[in-house]
Amino acid sequence: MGILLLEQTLNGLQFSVTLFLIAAGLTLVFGVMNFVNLAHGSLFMVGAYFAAWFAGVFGSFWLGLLCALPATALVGLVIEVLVLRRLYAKDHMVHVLATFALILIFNDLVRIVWGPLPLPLDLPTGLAGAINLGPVPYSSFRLVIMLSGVLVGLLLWFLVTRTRIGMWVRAGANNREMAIAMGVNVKWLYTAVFTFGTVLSALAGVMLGPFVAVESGMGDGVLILAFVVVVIGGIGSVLGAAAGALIVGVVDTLGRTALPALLSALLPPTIATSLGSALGSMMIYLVMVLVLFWRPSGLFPANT
Amino acid sequence: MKVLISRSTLVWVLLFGLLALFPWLATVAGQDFYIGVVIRIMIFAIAASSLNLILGYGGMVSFGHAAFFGLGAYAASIAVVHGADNVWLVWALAALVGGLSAFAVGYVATRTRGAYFIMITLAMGQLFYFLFVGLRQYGGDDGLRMPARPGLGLGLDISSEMVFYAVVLLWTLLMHLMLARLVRSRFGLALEAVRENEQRMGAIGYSTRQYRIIAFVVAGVMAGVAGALLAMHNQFVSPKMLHWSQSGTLMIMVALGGMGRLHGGFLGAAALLLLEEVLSSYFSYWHIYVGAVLLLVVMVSPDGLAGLGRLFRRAPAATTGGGRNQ
Amino acid sequence: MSTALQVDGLVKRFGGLEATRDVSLQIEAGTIHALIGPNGAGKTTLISLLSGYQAADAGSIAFFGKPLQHLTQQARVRAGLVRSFQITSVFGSLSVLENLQVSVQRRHHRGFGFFAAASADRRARDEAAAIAERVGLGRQLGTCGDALSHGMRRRLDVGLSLACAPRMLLMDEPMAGMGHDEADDVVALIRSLTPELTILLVEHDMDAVFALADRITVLLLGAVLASGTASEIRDNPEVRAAYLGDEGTA
Repeated sequence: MGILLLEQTLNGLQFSVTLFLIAAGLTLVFGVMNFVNLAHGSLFMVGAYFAAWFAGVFGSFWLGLLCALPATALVGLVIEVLVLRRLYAKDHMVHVLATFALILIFNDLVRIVWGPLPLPLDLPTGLAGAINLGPVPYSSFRLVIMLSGVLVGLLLWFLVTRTRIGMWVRAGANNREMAIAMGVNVKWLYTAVFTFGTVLSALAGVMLGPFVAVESGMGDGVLILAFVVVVIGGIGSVLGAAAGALIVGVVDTLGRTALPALLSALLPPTIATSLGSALGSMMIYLVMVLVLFWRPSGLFPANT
Repeated sequence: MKVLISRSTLVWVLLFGLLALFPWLATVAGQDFYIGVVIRIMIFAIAASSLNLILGYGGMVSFGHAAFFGLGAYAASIAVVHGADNVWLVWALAALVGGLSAFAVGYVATRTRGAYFIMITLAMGQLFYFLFVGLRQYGGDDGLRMPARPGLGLGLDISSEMVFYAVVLLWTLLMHLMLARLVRSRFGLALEAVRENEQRMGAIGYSTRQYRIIAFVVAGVMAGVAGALLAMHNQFVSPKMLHWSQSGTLMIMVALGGMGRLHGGFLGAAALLLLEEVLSSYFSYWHIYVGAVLLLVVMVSPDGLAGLGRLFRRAPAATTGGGRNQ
Repeated sequence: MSTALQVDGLVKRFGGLEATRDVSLQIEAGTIHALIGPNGAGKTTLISLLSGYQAADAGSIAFFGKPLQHLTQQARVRAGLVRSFQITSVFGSLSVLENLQVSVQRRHHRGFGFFAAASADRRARDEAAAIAERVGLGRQLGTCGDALSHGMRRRLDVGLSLACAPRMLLMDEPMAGMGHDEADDVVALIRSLTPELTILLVEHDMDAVFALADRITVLLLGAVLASGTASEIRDNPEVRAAYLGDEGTA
């Protein structure tokens, strides 16, 4: 039981990292441009698709990753310049509708381009095995994911707090007019922020690709969880995204695995699994509602 | 000179008349399949109109509205599974469930604003979705069949498609009239003012939160009844009816039809469902076209869709007869 | 003459910053009392505290003898204390008549009014039209808020406040953004409101202040610097040094 718990906790942490990568881009776009981007999950999906395709072409996971990131970044750039730019000044309702439209478009587009069946994406041969963490053998690849997430987090922290670009991002978030007065090209700053977020989301898609089916609609589920992360953590805050991702990743994973196990000790097995699974899925939304009741702007809201 | 019937009223009376005749026309033309299509359109028209009240008139971007729709459907199906055979009782139950859940969601959500409001409504909608996914004894993910439609009484057989069509048509008419009454009332005027400028409403002495919650409850009741009707139409309900993507679909209907316009829900439901009907018969991948149409509508509208609605709702310069388009 | 508003020792802190420091003032009924001071002096915060939009940390407010500091904004409006906003705040997509009707109907009716058509509410509409006339918008009843000129929108804003049947108005920079002619109209409108109403006026436009005010209070960094009649304030050396400079142009 203890080993199961440890393994699931590690899985939860790995999921947290994936969520952080997606949520970081989402919260920056939210905070800097005040833009509700439902299409963020679609870019996650496109990243996974590109990776699976390139990996299949080159026969290498790493080459797949290397090509998928710029390819997805390009896609993100195109939709930002053509579509999203005109919508920043409008109200959230318009953002929701436009990006929901993009979800519909992308979900069918990937099926038109790559067919209706899920694409396989294999683990890189070097990391297909497991490392022993004490008594528990744990997938090396999952550990790499966690490591890379931490690295990205540190990179982001460094970028946002220590560099000029980061200062511009924070200035742009707080006061658009002031940023313009400071000589910041706000239009391209927004494009840069959006594209950066796209790359992070694509990275998450590539890394999660070997574990889930790379198929149409794969981004929809994570998108919602990413939003929960952003709201719990506080809109516009990378620290908040990290904290939120930690909470959501662990609670969601443990909730969906540990809870049924817990309930089967008390209830007949069939009811326990489905009820436990449902309650586990509901858990994270309950947490979000509670957090918002206590802190209506999230845990670490960015200053505005 | 006093006009007895306005032109728009005449148009809509004619439209309802046409709808009333439709089943007979369709049967004669050998196209009775479309009777089911029109029933679906009318049911979604009610659901979309209920969202229009919150979204268009109330200005609240609720991303969990499908939950009330689905809850009404489940309430009806579960009641029938447990032996309920009186459709009036089933409708009352669906309305009650819709209203109560809307009160719960509205009470919590109206504590927040902006993006947080969107997220909380979405989250609470998902809560209900997962609840039904988890309820194995009511089908869980596979959904729940309604063995038979609950009886109408009055010597009519509700399992007959024609009778059911008439029932749905009457409900659509009733809901439409109710909504029309409500939005033209003092409450409706105040609700729109809250949408326009909540802070100012507070400053002139209104308890604005009460208005928003009441709008939620009314919308929940409407959506609940619509859900029950859909469950009776398909004799089936599944958790997908409560999923956030279904909420998105309802939003698209309201946006296409015209937010804050009285007939927005009706027009939007008809437009989207007919579009889907046509597209899906020609293309296997038709979501992309729906998305493209939606994107086009969103982009083309000068001030967002509210602006498009506003352009039709009133002329910017002085007009006699006041502001809101009826 | 009775005291409309008695404020004693009002304090408001935002984190470490004291936005309102031990402010006291007294306003006689039927008079116009102006509140002036440089930006950041805490004038708008004070208005928020008086109207109930924000709660004070300490101090008391009495309105015609009735203690007010524990009442909600809605309750204060019902007691007769109404504010208007610095940035004109009306209901853009509603017509002038509907704007005023919304404000009037709340007073006329107890319940929410789900069934009766708003357009059939004769009493409310008539009173709304009368108020529109009062603020000089009698010919714009059908124009929607967004389509009004800046000056007309400001007058509608005043009308919205008047529609609450107030005893006292808290007006936050009604002259802001006004052209010369429009400003004269608004000044005349405000003067016409007394002595039935009492007015607390926050303003930067010194011409308007000296034209209207019976008494003036000067705020500096959240505290009261001086309080007195227009000529007393104009001649006060401290006030001139801190705010008015040479013959007070804002």
